Amino acid sequence: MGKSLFSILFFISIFLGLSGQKHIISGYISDKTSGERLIGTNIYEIESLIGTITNNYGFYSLSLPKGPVWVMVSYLGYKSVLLDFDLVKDTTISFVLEPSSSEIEEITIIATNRSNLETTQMSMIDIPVEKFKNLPVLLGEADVMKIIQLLPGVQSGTEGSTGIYVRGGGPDQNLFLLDGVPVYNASHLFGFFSVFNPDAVKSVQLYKGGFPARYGERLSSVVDIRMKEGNEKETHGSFSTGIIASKLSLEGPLIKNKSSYIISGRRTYIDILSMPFQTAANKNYDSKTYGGYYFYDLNGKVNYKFSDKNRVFLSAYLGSDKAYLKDTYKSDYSNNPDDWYESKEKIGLGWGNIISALRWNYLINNRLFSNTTITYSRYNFDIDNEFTEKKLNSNENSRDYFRYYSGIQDFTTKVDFDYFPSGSHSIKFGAAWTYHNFKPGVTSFSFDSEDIESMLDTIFGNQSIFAREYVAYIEDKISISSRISMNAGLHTAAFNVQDTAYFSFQPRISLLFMAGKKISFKASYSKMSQFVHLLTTSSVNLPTDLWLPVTRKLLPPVAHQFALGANSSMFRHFDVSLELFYKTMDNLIEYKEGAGFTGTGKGWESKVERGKGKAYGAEVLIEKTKGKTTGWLGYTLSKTDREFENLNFGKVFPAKYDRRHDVSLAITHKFNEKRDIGLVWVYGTGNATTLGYMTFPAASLPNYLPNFYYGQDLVDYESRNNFRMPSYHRLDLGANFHKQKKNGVRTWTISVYNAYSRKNPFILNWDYDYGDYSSPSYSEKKVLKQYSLFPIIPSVAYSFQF
Amino acid sequence: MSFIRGTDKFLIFIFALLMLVSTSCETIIDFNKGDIKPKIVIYSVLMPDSLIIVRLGSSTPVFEPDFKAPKLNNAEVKLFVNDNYVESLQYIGRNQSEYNHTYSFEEFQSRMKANPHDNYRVEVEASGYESVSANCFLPNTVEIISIDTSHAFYQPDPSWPDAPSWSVINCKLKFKDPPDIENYYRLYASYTTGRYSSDKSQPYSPERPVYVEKHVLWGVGGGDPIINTKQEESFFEDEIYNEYSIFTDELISGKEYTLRLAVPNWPGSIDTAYHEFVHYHIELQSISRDLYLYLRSSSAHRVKEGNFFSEPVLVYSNVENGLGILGGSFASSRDLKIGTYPVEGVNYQYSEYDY
Repeated sequence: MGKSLFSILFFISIFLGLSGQKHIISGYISDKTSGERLIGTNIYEIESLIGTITNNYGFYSLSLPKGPVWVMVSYLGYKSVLLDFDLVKDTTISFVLEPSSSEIEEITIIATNRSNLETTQMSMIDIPVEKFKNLPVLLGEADVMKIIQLLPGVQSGTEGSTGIYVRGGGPDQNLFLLDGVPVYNASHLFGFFSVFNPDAVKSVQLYKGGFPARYGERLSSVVDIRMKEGNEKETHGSFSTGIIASKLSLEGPLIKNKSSYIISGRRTYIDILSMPFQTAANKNYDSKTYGGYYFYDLNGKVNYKFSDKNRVFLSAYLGSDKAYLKDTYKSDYSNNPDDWYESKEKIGLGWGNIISALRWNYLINNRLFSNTTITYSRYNFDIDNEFTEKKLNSNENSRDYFRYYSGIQDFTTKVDFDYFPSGSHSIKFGAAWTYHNFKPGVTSFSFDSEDIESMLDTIFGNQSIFAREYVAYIEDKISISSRISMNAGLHTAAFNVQDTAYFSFQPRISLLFMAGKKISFKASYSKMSQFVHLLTTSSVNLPTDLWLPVTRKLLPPVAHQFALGANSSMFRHFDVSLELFYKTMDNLIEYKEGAGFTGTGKGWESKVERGKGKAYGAEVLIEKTKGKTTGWLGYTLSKTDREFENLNFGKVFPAKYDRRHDVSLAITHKFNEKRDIGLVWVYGTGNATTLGYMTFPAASLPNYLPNFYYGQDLVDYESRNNFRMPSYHRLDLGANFHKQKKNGVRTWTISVYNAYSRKNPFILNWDYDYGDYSSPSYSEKKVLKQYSLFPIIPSVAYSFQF
Repeated sequence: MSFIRGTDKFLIFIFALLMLVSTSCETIIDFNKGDIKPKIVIYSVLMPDSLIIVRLGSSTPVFEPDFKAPKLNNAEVKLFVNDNYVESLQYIGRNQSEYNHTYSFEEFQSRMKANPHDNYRVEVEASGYESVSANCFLPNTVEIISIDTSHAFYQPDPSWPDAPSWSVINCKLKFKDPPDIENYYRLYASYTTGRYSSDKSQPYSPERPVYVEKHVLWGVGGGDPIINTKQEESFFEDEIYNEYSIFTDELISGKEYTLRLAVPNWPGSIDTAYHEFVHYHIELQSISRDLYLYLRSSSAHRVKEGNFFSEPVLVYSNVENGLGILGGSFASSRDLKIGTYPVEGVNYQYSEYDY
């Protein structure tokens, strides 16, 4: 398959490369006010309709027939530029686009429609970064991940969490890239917020299928997030404060038009605000307990342009969550003063990511662009507990110390090339090498005492597991005719762990057929594989989740996905897309029934089962991208199953986040420069859960009587995920009030999460109905109780941009 | 230990936080699952050369604690051997569940005895229930080749030298797993003690009773690697305990293997002059796959039931349209005896319960 694909690509390349006499125009496209390079900008010749889009660094290269040309450059939210000139030789032209003040600029609509209609890429959504800040969200904290959850084909996890389940995939099947570097744990506050600070984000692209060959490593989705580069013209910044967190961002030139920076940070402050209350609560007690939680993150990026051909970027992310409990107790009541003591106990739980990337853009010639990157990514989870006891009237001390930690660390070097042999033809290729260090869970325990014999210092748990991953890819985007285009490629990967090597050949192909000027049809196939597993519980989203490599026993998961789609811009102001997908997944893992998520990681392979999954469905997305009112309506009809030999007794069962119907409506409306409002409404079929509604006695036979938990009946669960929780729906409302001040723009944001206070299900269980005991008709009965997390939650935030 | 308390406290704190938020949003929801009928529960373990006893019980809806299940004493229990109808089992009476007296079982018995290598099917029809059926293959025995014993002292915590230790009899039980088929086992051990009830400084008196008690050794052989299937050491979780000492031949397929187990010992405390005794009975049971899966899943189910942090464990059943298990077991056994029992003329008094 691989060899055939290469041969086809090679001959088509030669054919197309030799046909006709052409010249190249190339260069960068950037924002006029900030100098930020614009990703995914359309550039095309309006007569021949030959065009391309800028790459992740704002570079384009377009091969056009010599002679007079009319080149159109357009990008959502910017004024389009039309340039006509006589193309007589290879030419470098860099465009600067001016942000559009008009919301109804007709030509931009056309440009936008072109982008959706004419690209071979399907199952990809470019999230409008500026727009998502206007949509209402939980506690007023704008969040990239929560916007992604509103898109068709994406299911959210637990209410309020940032987890995503894409086209039937699991939580470990999503690759989050921040400036091209994998982020292993993308959540703060037990999953309620993502680590991506919207103030530092420049672009967000979600791939659900039709994966280009340059992406790999996960089965179900790629979320490619690019950070801003920093304004290279002048210094700007913003400050905002909300109910739970404050943010500060600064960006500006280090050397005007040559070097710029951006730095953005945020921190929550519930721990600080609650301290006086905790002090008051402890006032009259011998035991004083303080607890708190906070998270912070910091994004920074600098770049330097050595020349038009050379540019270097250094970006970093540092984020951490910390929760703690401190308890002190003094006992001086005993009649014997030798027994008086003071004890202190500290418990800490922390997790966080460190991510950094050093990249070098080098324009080898006007047809070949290169990007060389060295990256580092680390995720750590740490829990520690220290207990000390000191006798007040002697030197006798003791100390217990316990620590459990786990994590993963990656070093990667990679090189990517964009090659533009002709106007109808572009090739991307590259290679990468990654060194993984998995720490599946190590526990250390020490006990110090005056009594030497009692001292203990022990470490147990798994040692680090090292692995090497090699990747090479090539993808070729070709216009076969004026109506048919294709993006075909091959992603190859090798993974070497503990003397075991795995190889993976992953062909990808996407086809586009332009049925008319306003309608196109698409088809794609992609094979994806990944070499890591995430051991996670399906009940809750906690940072104890363990990333672990594939092993001899647990083979790399593999997915095959087929998709068919249609895009239309036949309806004025609206883009409509419809996609059908069918996906199979093999070598998936799930916890064994009864196995939990905690522990030392020792023998983790024995805690999981291997099986397969299947998902299929249809997605509809209706978008309105221009005008005073913008937004989208998404609908997904889907079914997701799992089949494990040793789960559910080998029978097929619905995945936890199998959701038959999923609807999302997201609307923003701008009244004027001073006021805008946002609305989000979501509806989803209830999650599948395992609920028993019959009990029965355990084996009552000689020598088989249950010994453990004597007297406990058994619950008849029938099958795994046999019950549907009530449906989920919610309405969020928000409004922004802007005012131009002397030094910038002030914004008050008021939002209401779950406006009609729908009690959405979080957990179901059987419990006694503790009604009125005094009532003569009182009888003890069990009822099904639903526990919900978030009722109506209003919030307010203040921000200032300067 | 304080660190266990601490980390548990932390998880409880997280959970409590979630529950605190969610408790404020607690609602009773309609449970609409249509007409839920109780299911017939079958418990029967076939043993060679033994009459077949089938116990029938009923499941109960969680939400109706006073639920009165339709009666099962009139049930028709048909027995098929190798797909041929053989007989309808005879109703012999009602038994209360030994551990939960809210349940009772109707007991039925065959006239024929079970034989190894045969396939058995039990079909049950009863008014108010859906008909149920279950199939079972009675496996062949796997003979114990030898059993060697030695005395030792068991030290429960080697890191604590002063910890109390007790005397045990270490047993090495050798057997050969039959090749080419999947085999499932249970190691079962019990001991019966007889204790003279009176002052042993006085001569033995036939008037004074010797109290006889039988003890089942739960989790015996837990130190053997193929029986100890404890999943991992964890500070947070309830561990699934292999109470039935069941195991498969996955690691020893077709090979000779020596199981290690220890049984308690009382050196010097058994005085045979007073007709005291201790008799150990050790069985290597070859059990049907269905019985193995039932025992494994029901143990895990009881440990994990109600644990928010783990997926519920489904209890395995081979009863179509019903619950419970129809299993087969064929034991090979050895006895170790100290003292003689029974002895004619000794006044034995028996404990009501086995332990």
